[in-house]
Amino acid sequence: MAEKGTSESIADSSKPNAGRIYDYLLGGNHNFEVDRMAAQQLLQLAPFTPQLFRTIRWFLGEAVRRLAADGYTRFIDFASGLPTIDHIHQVAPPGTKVIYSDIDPVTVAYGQEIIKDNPDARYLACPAGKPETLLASPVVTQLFGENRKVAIGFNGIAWFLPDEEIAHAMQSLHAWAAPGSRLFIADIDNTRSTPELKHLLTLYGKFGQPFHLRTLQGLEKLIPPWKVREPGFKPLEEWLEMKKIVAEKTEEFGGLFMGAILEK
Amino acid sequence: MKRADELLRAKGDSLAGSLVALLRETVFDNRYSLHPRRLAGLGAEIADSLIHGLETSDPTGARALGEKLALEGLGEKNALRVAARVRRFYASELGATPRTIDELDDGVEQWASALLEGFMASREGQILKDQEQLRRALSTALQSQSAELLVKNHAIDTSINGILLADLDDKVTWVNSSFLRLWGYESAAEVQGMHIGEFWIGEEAQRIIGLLHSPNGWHGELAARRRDGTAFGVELSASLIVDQEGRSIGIMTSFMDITERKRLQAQIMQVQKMDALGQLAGGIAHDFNNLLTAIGGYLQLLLLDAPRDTPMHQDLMQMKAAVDRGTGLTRQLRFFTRQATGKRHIVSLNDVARETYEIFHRTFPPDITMELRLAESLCTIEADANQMSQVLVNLCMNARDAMQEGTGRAGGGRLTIETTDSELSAKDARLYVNGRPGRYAVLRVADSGIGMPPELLEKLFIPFVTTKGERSGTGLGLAVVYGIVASHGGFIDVQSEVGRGTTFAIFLPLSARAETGQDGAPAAAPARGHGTILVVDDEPQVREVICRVLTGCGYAVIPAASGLDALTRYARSGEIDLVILDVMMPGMSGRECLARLLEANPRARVLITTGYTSDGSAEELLAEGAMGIIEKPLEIAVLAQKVRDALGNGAACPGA
Repeated sequence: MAEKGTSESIADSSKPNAGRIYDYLLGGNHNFEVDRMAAQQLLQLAPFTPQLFRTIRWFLGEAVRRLAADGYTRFIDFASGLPTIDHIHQVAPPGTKVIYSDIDPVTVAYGQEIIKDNPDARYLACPAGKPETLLASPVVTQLFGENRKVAIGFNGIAWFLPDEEIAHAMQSLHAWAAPGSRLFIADIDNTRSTPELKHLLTLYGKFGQPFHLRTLQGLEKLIPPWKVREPGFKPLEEWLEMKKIVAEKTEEFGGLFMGAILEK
Repeated sequence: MKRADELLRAKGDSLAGSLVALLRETVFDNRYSLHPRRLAGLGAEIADSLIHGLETSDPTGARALGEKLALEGLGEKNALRVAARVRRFYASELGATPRTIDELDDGVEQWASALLEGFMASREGQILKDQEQLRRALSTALQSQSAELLVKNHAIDTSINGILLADLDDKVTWVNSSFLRLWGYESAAEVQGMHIGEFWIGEEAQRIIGLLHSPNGWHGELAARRRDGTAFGVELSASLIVDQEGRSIGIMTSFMDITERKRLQAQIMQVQKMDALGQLAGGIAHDFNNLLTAIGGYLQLLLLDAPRDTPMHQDLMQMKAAVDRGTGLTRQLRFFTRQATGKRHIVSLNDVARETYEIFHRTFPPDITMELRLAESLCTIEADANQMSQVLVNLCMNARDAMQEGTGRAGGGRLTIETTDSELSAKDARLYVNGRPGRYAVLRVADSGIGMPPELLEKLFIPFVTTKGERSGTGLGLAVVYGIVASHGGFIDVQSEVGRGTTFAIFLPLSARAETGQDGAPAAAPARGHGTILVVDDEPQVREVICRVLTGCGYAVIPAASGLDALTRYARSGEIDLVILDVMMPGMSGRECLARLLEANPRARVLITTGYTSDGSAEELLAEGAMGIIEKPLEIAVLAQKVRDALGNGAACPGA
């Protein structure tokens, strides 16, 4: 989502907030009536939005589950939204340390409040395209110590960023992270975009949120020096082993979102 | 009952399969934690719970299952669907068994109710917890914003600038403390609801009020009107206030009092003008001084040769008197241009004020009442006492003239000479263009005369500007005051109002030196001597006069027209006892020439001639090795004495 002026009231519950709308569409309770009304308008135009968002969030859950199983206990997440509904600290085993981040000050403020009782989670303001803002924060060392072997979430944000910002983010994170670190990423493969999704994106565009759709090949050029781990980029529903189950429900966007786990 | 249970058990797998199909169908209504892989087992678990519930008639298990399903991530819609699917399954598969239908019906309903009850209780707990989190987040954000707002409000209210908010009808809705102070109101309540036009003056203000509503706002200067009706200048910056939808809801105006800034700007311009005039007058004074030096010198030589009591001698004396008057004027101009500093001593400003008061107290017309107010512990200043007297005399003469008949008012009035100590803080000093923080002795001369209009105040210190007409003033009186005060490191503040009199305040830095008393014995008698003297001056007439005077006093003289010429002659002669060196020369300057001479002969004796003594260059030359200074225009006797002193020989020079 676009960065908002910090002067805007973060306590204004009379206006819909993207983070809370997202929470509602995922089935969460961290939202107000004004958010639900805005979400309903969105649903009228693009009824498949909840499924789309849930698939992206489920991929996050799947990646976290797998990485936690591989022994990763430190996670950094970009464009986190509200830390609700199967987010990292809810999926990963207890004791896993998580740093969430978002560009939207309203979401950051809510996020900080939601996790404030969790000693293993923090929430920082940081644009995904400039991860150095987060990496330079003393909070990282306070929570992680000097251990930089981390798992990084870059989930459902690449399509909001221009190429140069993605390339910069990938290089910065790679330079900072210790060898053996992982990064999971999900993005649209524009070669398979459906008319329905194009309609949705056009709608978002009208709200002033520009999109940067790219092909999978285009994305793969931006992620070095990270290397793609096996099994490579796959549609999200395949990661979730839900291909048959959700096929009918996701025909508007099925197979369009690709995800992968990268390594340093 | 048994038969029905058995039937249900027999169809349990079928029920489980039906439930799994349902959950798969509605998978997106669940959470990730209820993963599709889990669905197969979940169908059987629900079916088992139902059978067990029917067998035991105990709803506890159904309720626990409901709670568990909620925690695992089953959505609300799916919980209802599960209950409905179980009921439908019972109705379609077992409902045709007459003997057991009622009992079973009750059992299924009981089980479904318990399942939903458990589920909803758990979900309600989750929802309440989440909503509480959200409420706390909102509250925290509100507190944070409230604190931020408090700080911003404080900043706005304590801003040095006046701030006024108005609605779209230009009616005041809020003002800050500085606004009240600037406009002289006691409280915001007094101005709320007033039209903003009431705070400004003139037709221009009405035009500008219209401009305040433009999207770009307005920025400029405006005449404002205080509550008591007095006017003052403000710099105004105005902008539209818009709401979050971009609609105009009012106007914000910020004001800065520019009275002081305007006053300082005018003073700075005045100082710059005076400096420019000083440079111009200084150039003229220098050239004119050289001319007078030459004329006066030749005149003095002619007078030496002209027999006394002859017409020629009398004519020459008339000419000398004219030259002396010209020299006097030049000297005054040099005061103005700060080229003349005179001799600085520790001076008591009270003594100067008292002496001047005594003189004028007796000589001023009786209808002028003079008053002397002396500070009890006025410290001393480092000054030329004669120049200080001249400052006071000039100011008193002006004050007298301002109170005399012929000025359009009745004659007489009150003239006050006052001395005070004053310590200026950095803030106080900013009120004056040349003011610097520090301790000052202040000399005030106040009269109750006709006063001056602002346009006259602007050119008060400019040379040859006078209001006294041809009959009296030269127009140099205040110019001299200005120059003397400036050369003493001081500054002047003038307050004047037509019909109400004028007050000059002269600020002079207090001296850090403790010693008092004066030095400077009168010049020794002109004297003859012997020796060889190199006379260096680019002005042929001045050079010639000096040469002739010194020749007449018994010295051998070698003239040189430039610094380079002087070095050549000095090197060639090898027998030069003294060098008389002009400071201001084209090409090689006197300073450089002095350095080169001392480089060639560290024991060389050099006297400096100059018309400038105030810029510090003469003192610097003394520090660099010159023996003494001879001030232009030259007095023969002084020249001869200084030369003799420098050479340390000889006798009185005849006729000098």
